[in-house]
Amino acid sequence: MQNFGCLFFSKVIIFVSSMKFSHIYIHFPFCLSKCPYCDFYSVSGLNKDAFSDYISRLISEIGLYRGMTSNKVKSLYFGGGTPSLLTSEEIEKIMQMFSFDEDAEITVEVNPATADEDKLKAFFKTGINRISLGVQSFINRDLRVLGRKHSAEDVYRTFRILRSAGYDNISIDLMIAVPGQTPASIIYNAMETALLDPEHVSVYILTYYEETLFYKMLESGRIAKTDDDVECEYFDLMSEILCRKGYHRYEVSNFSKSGMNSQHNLNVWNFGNYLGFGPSAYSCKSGIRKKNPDELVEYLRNIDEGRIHNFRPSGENSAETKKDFIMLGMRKTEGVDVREYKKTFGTSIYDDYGGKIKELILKGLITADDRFLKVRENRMNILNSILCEII
Amino acid sequence: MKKNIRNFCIIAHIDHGKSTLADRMLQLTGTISERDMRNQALDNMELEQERGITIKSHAVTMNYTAADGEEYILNLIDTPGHVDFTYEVSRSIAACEGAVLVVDASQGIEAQTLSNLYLAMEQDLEIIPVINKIDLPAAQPENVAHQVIDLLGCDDSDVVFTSAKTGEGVNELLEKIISLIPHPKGDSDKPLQALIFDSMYDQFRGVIAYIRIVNGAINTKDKIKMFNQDSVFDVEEIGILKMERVKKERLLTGEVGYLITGTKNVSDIKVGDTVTLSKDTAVKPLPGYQDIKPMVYSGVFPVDTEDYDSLKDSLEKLKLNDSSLTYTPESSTALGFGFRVGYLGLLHMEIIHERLEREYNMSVINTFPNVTYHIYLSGGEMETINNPKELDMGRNIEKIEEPFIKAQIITLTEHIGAVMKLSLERRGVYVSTDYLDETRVVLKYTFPLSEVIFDFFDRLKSVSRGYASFDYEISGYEATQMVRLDILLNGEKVDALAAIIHKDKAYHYGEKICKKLKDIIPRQMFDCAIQAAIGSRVIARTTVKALRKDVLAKCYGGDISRKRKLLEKQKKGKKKMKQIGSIELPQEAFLALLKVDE
Repeated sequence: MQNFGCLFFSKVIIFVSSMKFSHIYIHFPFCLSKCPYCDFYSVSGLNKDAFSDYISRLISEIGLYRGMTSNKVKSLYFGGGTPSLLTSEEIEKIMQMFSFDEDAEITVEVNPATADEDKLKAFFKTGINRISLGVQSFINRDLRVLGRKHSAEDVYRTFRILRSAGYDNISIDLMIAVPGQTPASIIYNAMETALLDPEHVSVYILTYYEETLFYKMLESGRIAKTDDDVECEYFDLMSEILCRKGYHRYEVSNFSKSGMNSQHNLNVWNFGNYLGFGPSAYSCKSGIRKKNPDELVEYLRNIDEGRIHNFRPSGENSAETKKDFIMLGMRKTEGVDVREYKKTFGTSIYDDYGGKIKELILKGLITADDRFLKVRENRMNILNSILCEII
Repeated sequence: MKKNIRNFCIIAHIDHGKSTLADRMLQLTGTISERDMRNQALDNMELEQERGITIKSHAVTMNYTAADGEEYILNLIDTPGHVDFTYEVSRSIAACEGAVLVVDASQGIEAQTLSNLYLAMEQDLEIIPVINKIDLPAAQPENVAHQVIDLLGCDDSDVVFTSAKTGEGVNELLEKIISLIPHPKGDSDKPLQALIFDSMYDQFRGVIAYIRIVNGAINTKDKIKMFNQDSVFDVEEIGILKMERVKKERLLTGEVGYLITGTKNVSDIKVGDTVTLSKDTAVKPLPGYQDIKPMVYSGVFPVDTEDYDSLKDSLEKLKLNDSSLTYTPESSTALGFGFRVGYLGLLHMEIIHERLEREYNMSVINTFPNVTYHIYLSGGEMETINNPKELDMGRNIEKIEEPFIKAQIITLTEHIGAVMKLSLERRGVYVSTDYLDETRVVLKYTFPLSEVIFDFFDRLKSVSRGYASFDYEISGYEATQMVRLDILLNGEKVDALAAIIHKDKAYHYGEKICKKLKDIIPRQMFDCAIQAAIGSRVIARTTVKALRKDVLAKCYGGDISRKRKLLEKQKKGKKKMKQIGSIELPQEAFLALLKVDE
């Protein structure tokens, strides 16, 4: 009997590794223009021909993994770049490469500057059932600072179109701590969001990623970063209003109406498997992460050579994988699923990190029970410090 | 043979061109080829080259055919030029018959040059004055020569004018060395007596002693002993020092070279000790060196407590190259196990710290330096302490005495006011003013040593626009009003941050240090109260507010690797911190006390 646990554990691993991918990410690396704060891989100023060439190669890449994707795909996410530059025909072609679960969540990120009514309606007909709308702000001045190609009016118009097209799961992205914002900007954006009444809201504090134009401007003193404390106050303000309007914060930056969490992203935080297509896209299986080349040219060459990811465990040891599990799980307000941890690794999280966990509980930073280990909600803003203590 | 040997050192203030002059001599005598010439060839420690100063004395043998057609052996024994290293200078001087006194033609005589010169004169060395850097536009060779002539009471014709940079005058200097510096005395028939004037540690060969044969001779395979030691050693290898070690079968009276016995034990070879033969033993040792007394103490602790043994090992090896270094084990509640290290001065402390980090890869925390205090208890007993935490203010203390120095400061007349103001701030007591010439004065002062061991020299340089120079000697102990100042973090005393300070300065200091710590201690998950206290009386307080924001906004599939890297980096930074109660203290906090005036 003593060996049973071990035996069981190895079976779990075998089961996991033979499982097929049911969460898919597709990266579309083209934009109208590069936003000065964005560090995702994207190319701007390309023409239609380049798009369609890219689509055909992307489809061959998906073909390389044909046997590895589930016939009941649960989520598909078109991210970018600006995937709303795609035509509905192209979307359809890509979607035909998969077969979906009946409740599948299929999302496209939409830039309000790129979407016309016909296209959004056509998207809906292809089976797209969730839209992530890159609003950022309802204040035109903010949008100019952020280098966005759309106006607040475009946002209202696009949102109306989406609703009339039939979308009943819309997410809005908001940016806070944009240079020049005041508490009034935050309140205004929160209230305007609530008026539109989307199902989901993502709120990001503006981050100055290295190698972005904003980072350089910050370094050279051409823009001023909002003070950390003020950023926090803005976030708390936004969060408070959204919560009063019926949203629930379920992750560091994500809020939703009841039952409207992003299934695709939850899978990432739940340490699930996913397969990513397109340049710079990540895939993950049993904690082993693989990345496609950043550069379009190298990415395309890989496809021509028929290379596919190998998810056999290599350098990554289980201790590191456990850390990833905790790091991701703690981002959720419900916390790390203690039973899932045991199911995945065969050991209890309290056996692995008990001492550190106890200390943090005593300091009033986290709470723990036999179901979840979680950060106290008012301490979510110092998650990194807490994670550093545990892992 | 020995009549063609000249042993000499060079005495100079920092930046007066000693190293460049040595380089030029190495070139002129063909000791170093043009190809191998890099600037300041003798300064082979990385740190020395960076700081442009010679920390550690070195020796080199040069062959030179003089104008008289004879071939001479010139042994140059290099000396350090900073106030902290007087001891090393005196060691070098003891192995020489002559000294070349180098003075910058644009700067004139500096305080340090004076004190080293006095050391050389006490040892009856023949002094050759050299006015260097005559190529500089600001050079005033005639004026400076006058200062030197006044000082030495020598003749106009004794002064050599050089530009080490261009090589001008260097040949003349070599000729002067041969004609003026006496050849070594000593008796080749007497039993071996060799002075160990320096040593270094080589990881392959063990301890390498630098020796000067005073009497007799030494041969490879001789059996030798040290006067301070009972054990007998085999001479594994001897030789002379060119740019590399050059093996020889024997070293004769008057010669300077190296000795390897194969011992790896640092304490076997003591600088200042005398080497003799185990059979034909000399009756008595050569006059050794006075055991050097450290002036400044600080705690040195490994950042990672597990590195205690390697720190011990590194200090042992450092001591081989630097016999002035002393240390004893110390334990701190905040920092764990480490050492109380004694230094000659603050620069010496900085150099030890840097050498530990660079040459021995140690990450260490250096605590606030202090001097040795005499504590008189009401029972009449006296205790000496060199660690603030040993000062228990609760006991019946009759009086506390601290060491004082007699200092001479050479400055331009226009900066006298600023120098005096600084001296007053440092509890200096004015003694006298002497004019060197119309523009330069020697100010004499007494100071408590504790007031000059840190940043005084830097401050002096800045108030005098770099012109003032400073030197001192210990004059004795005097009673003053000293108190122990504690620093508390969230109510917990941090022993490694305690300081002994004059009562009148305690409030100001306490306030400044709290403010400084507030800037240095990063915000943490909780508020952190910083307090300064004398006994149970809190005299200053600040708070580091709890961290508000430390979270990455986005973490989707593509962000995980980046997020992990970020956390690893953050953890690495955390590792460098010292955990004190619930507070993480960066290493700079311990250095902050040093820089409280900035």
